[in-house]
Amino acid sequence: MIQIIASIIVLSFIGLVKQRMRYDRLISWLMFFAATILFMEFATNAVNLNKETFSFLWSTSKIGDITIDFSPGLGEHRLLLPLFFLSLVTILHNNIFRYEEKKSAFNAFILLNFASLSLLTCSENYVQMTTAVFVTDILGYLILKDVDSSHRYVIYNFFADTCLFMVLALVCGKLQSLSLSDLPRYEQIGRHKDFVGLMFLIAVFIKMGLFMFQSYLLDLSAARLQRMSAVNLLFAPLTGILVLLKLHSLVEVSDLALPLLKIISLLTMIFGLLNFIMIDNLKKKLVYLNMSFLGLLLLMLENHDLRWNWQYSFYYSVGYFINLLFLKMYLYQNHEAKVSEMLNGRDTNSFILRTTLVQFVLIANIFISLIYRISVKHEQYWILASGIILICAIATVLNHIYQSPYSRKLEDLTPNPLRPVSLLVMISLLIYTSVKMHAYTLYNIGFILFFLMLCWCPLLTTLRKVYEIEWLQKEDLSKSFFFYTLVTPFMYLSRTLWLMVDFVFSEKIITSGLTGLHKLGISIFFKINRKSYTACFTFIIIGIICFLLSFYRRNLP
Amino acid sequence: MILEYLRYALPEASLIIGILHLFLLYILSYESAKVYARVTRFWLIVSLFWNVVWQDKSFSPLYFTNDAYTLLFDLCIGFFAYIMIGLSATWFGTENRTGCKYYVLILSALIGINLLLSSVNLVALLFCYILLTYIHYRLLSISYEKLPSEAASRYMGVSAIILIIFAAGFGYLNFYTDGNVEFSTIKEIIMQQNQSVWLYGAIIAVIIPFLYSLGIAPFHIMSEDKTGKGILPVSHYFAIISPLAFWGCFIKLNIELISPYSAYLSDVYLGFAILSVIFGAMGANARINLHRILSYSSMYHFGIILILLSFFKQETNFAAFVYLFVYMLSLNGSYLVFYSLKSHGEYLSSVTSLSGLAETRAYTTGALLVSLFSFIGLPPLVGFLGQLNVVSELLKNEYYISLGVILFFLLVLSKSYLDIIKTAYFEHKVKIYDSENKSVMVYTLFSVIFIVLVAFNPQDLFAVMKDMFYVVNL
Amino acid sequence: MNSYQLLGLVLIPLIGSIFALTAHNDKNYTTSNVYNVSILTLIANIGLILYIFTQCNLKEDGLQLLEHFKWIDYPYVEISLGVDIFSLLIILSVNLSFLIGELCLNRKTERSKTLITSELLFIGLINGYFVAADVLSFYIFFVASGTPLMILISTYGSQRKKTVLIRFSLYNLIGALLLLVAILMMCDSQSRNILLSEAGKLNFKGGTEYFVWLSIFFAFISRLPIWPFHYWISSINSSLKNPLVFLVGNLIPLIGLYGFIRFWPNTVPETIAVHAPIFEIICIITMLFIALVSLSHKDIRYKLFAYTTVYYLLYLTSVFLPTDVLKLNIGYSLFSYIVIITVLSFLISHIEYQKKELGIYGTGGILCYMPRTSKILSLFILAGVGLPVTSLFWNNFIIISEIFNYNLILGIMVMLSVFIVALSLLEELYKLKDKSNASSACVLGADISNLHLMVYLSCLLILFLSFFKPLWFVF
Repeated sequence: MIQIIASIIVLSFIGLVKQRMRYDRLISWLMFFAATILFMEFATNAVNLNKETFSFLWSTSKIGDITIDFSPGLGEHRLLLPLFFLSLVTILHNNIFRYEEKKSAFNAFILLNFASLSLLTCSENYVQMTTAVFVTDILGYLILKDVDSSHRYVIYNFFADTCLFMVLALVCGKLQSLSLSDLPRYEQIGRHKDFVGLMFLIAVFIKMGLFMFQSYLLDLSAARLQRMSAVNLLFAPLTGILVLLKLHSLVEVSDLALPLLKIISLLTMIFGLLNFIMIDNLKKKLVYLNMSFLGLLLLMLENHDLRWNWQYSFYYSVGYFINLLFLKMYLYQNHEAKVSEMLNGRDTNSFILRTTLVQFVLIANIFISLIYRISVKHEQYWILASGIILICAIATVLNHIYQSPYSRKLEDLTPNPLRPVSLLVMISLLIYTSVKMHAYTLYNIGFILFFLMLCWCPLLTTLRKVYEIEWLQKEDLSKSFFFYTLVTPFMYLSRTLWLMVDFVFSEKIITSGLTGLHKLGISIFFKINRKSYTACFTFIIIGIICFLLSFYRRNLP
Repeated sequence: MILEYLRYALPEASLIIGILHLFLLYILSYESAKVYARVTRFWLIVSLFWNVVWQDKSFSPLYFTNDAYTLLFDLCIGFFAYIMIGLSATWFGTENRTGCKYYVLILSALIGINLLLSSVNLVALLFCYILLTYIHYRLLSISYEKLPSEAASRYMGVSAIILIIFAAGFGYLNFYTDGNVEFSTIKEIIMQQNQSVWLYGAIIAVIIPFLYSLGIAPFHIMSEDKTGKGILPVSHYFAIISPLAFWGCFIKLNIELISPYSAYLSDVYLGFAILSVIFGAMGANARINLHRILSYSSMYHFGIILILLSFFKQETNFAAFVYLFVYMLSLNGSYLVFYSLKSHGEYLSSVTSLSGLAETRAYTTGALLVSLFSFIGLPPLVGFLGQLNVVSELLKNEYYISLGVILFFLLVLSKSYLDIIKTAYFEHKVKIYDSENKSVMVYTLFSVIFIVLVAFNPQDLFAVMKDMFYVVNL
Repeated sequence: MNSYQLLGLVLIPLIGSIFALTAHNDKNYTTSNVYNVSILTLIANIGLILYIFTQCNLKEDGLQLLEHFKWIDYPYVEISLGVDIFSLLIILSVNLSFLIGELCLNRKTERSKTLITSELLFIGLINGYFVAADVLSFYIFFVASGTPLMILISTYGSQRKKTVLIRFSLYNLIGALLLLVAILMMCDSQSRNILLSEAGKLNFKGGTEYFVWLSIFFAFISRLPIWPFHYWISSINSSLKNPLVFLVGNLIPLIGLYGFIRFWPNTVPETIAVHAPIFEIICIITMLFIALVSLSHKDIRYKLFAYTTVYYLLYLTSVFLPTDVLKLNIGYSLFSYIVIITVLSFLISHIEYQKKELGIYGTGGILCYMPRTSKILSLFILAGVGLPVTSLFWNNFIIISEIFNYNLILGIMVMLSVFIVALSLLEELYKLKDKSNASSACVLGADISNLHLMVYLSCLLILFLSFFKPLWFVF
């Protein structure tokens, strides 16, 4: 298995080598095929449960050995296999849609990200884990390229990584061990459990971009949608999930942590849903959509003791494909980011947009079937209700697109190419999945009709008016909140300290005081040290008196 | 017999011949200062040679005695005098003067110094002191052409008072000992009758002139003017040669004459030393003339030497000598820099004249920096050796308050040095300096190397010095 | 029998400085001659350091390869030199950083002879400081290393800072004098010069003990920018435009830190050690203060100074912990840290230089013209703030975990300071990359040269290898 990872890394570096543009397309397709072969081998090993252990001793220390471990078991495969698959799909669509000038570089970052997340998933010590987290952040930064979009991405992730670093340092200091397997002991012997639990959660919340911490993900909308989408789904937020799964014991050490996680997950889902419907910008909509997906996912995980299974992998993959469809929608609408300005597909690009709607319907069907299965398995029907609400929200947005008053634009003369390969792959996958899941019952058909009805419902169309509320479209509440409660006070404090202490205290008080003393000393000196004969006599007499005094002092009884 | 004693007078005789040689040159109308300087240095070397040969002989054992101690000081003085005479030639050359009067006076002063150091009799001491006072007066009256030598007049006035005091003391001692005024005799009398206030007073009268000549507060009245008012070569003499001589004699007096009164005098010395330290530090900050700043700096450092002498112990006396020697080395380095501070043929002496010196004269500024840092006592420069001795001795003898005062005022004094450095490095260039004289550069380089080398390997030099110094205790 | 290896570490740079000083004053050749002398000297020194590494027993604690030299008879002083792995690491990193500096320096600097001579003098003296094994030679090199520093700051400092320089010098002099008194008291109690390891075994009573130890620590503090005396050193540092002098300025606190590392663990008496929390509080206040001020400060040099200060104080805080297991971790971390701040100093100087050349007065967007510089600067800033492929990250992890083990609040404050200062650096990086301020025209020739790029990439390689094996260069 480690050879597969090594091959992926080598393949990535090949993709990063500078070459001429005409070779780029060839290399990117070769990368895809090579990655596909590696995926098949990976999947075969996973299915056969080939437990190869790889452990490389990196360094030793007094509190433990630092090793690079890669021994994926069943639990890890549940995460790695779908992740590899999604990475492959991303690479395929990158090659098909040609939305990057340097496709091979983009592909390389996706593959490196997968390698990094694999090492994160299989890590058995803190160092490997934190290294993988940092590397993923850097890869996310590199893939974004855009300064505006990556600015807060770096800052927020850096803060999250600092919190994680702090928590792990604290835990490590107490346990005197680097091994993740010793983590459950912290609950018995650890100190400052509430602090540990809360700081850990803050790190995870930021990484995942949950409620109040989503601003940096919204900034990603300044980047190209495909990059934004890749980062949103395969980088930071996914890292947050993996970290939460690896270190879930730290949530259990504090009584406050789990309730907080539940509250934030719920708020994330609700907040995400509302903004998904209300925000005009499609890129921001996707951020909010993913927030609601994550919120629901977290709620489900909390009910399952934060243990991952295949259903959750499937759920994540479905979420990914929904994002992919919206990405295609964006491309087919000629890179129109505002939903209010999108075309309804009746006159322009009608075939493409209709096939996209069909794909939406299929995936919604798959999603609801999955959610139904999960809710029945855990006997928690609120999951089904949440899933239905989510689907309704998606339907609402599709309604806004397909019921748009605009059927053509002046500048829109060239229809987008169909990209049949992508269409074929998607349709095949969706149909195959539907069949595998037996998602063709009467209930499913009924659901599909309901979904289509929502897509045409005039009531939902009236909600388009919300796109005209300007402050709603521009305002980012969490950004303003942090700006006014944290950033501004710190800046004022900083300036005050500089003025009051540096300038007034150090420069004026201390320095002026000393200068004043110095001048006083010199003025006294001038007064005493005169050049007259009188002064001369006085000094000599003083000297003689001193001599005599010394004599008499010694001779006194 | 007389001839045998006369040959022991060859060191002094060489200097007298040197004076006559200079007169001859003057009569023959030689106009180059370099010639006069060369002649002076030649006879200085000859005198030093005879000093080494007859190091433990004297032409008049009743009045003068030579030993390794006097040789040590003679050699030190000779070394610095050699440099001073060489550099003064460049000064006189620039001013278009022969400097004959100056060189004659220097040689005369060296005779007086030789005799002063060798004195074992109060008569000889008084005679040498009067001679030196007169020579100093004559040196001070060598001034810039148009400036009146008021400093010389004032010096004579004050010195007259001091000489009266000295004479009074001598008179009483002469009367008391029936004319037998050898140091050993007086010392024995003091040891038997140390409760007598008149005897004590007479000894004070002998001490005061030396304190006055060394510029120790409160007898420091003329110390600033001696170095500040005179021409550069005269200032150089008063800064280095004169103090070396008087310290050599004063240390000897402390050991051979005054030591029975150590219990009475140690507190007084300490008090005067602290006063000198304070005055020196404040004075250096108050002045803007470089020579005056260094004269107050000398006052500070001489105060420290006096503190060491106040213990009246062998080790502390030698520590005082070491401190004096290293200070003189550093001070000499500073004066070498002054000889290269020239603009349009005019020698500069104000701190503001150093503005922007570092921009055009990096080596000169570096040399000045080395000297100033050596004054402060920063390792690995030679000044650190002196500071090490001082602090070590004060701690051993538990003089914590004195140590605190010294260190505090060292900070105050350092401010004046740093102001000089600041002016040289940070201020913009104001004057255009004349091109450097090669001999001055050579001397400066030699001085810096010596300051650094002594710090790296002092043990051999100091071991020899120690052996020579300790002879005075025997 | 002395092997003179450690003495060689001190003398080689001093000899190099003499060569540099005596270089022929031909305008065409002087500059390159002087730099070549410096580079060769540093390479020779680094070679000697690597050789000394092979002579040391890596597992042994305490000073090794002791050399003794008689200095003066009165008072009797014998100078001792010795090293351990920690001090060798520091020496290597300092020499390496200067070599990097020499290779990346703009050779059109004014008064290059003064610069190189003073720099080599500084290296020789600071090497001596790190190999000093007795208290008196420790003092001598501690104070002596300030002399070339004064020359450099006086020559290259801003005119506006001249009075600040005087105050800073006097402040340092106070520390030096107190240290001298304390050390001589120590020597006096034993009537001889004592080794560093013996310093803690001396028996002082009451007030004397406090005076001696507090004097020693005040001397070290005078080299560290501790609140409220940080203003002078920060003011001077941020005014130094020459990157080599800026680097020297940033290495001053290392002198103070090293002093604490030598004297505190295992050496300081228990009566003094109980007051460690006071020192820790002072460190934390300073860290927080400087980190906060750097947030609003516009000068990138100040931000870099704040970064170096916070990290120095982080190491200092770890020194005060009641454990002696962190010394090597501090050493490994310092090794990477010094290389990182060296590279950052030079990159920042390059940017400032290009700003002047291009006539750009604001900082925004200048990295748009310099893609290579942009990448290297980003990587090194990330390495500096904690990229986990350098030994800085791993060893800081150990250090911070020990701090947390000792006290939670202390740990939180330390992390907060580290985060704030890292944030200010990252913000500055983004300001430099902000293309909204850059013109659309393509500017050629502003980027770093191939040689500089190779040097910086080598530094990255060194950092990366150090993460794998801290002593990878020892065979």
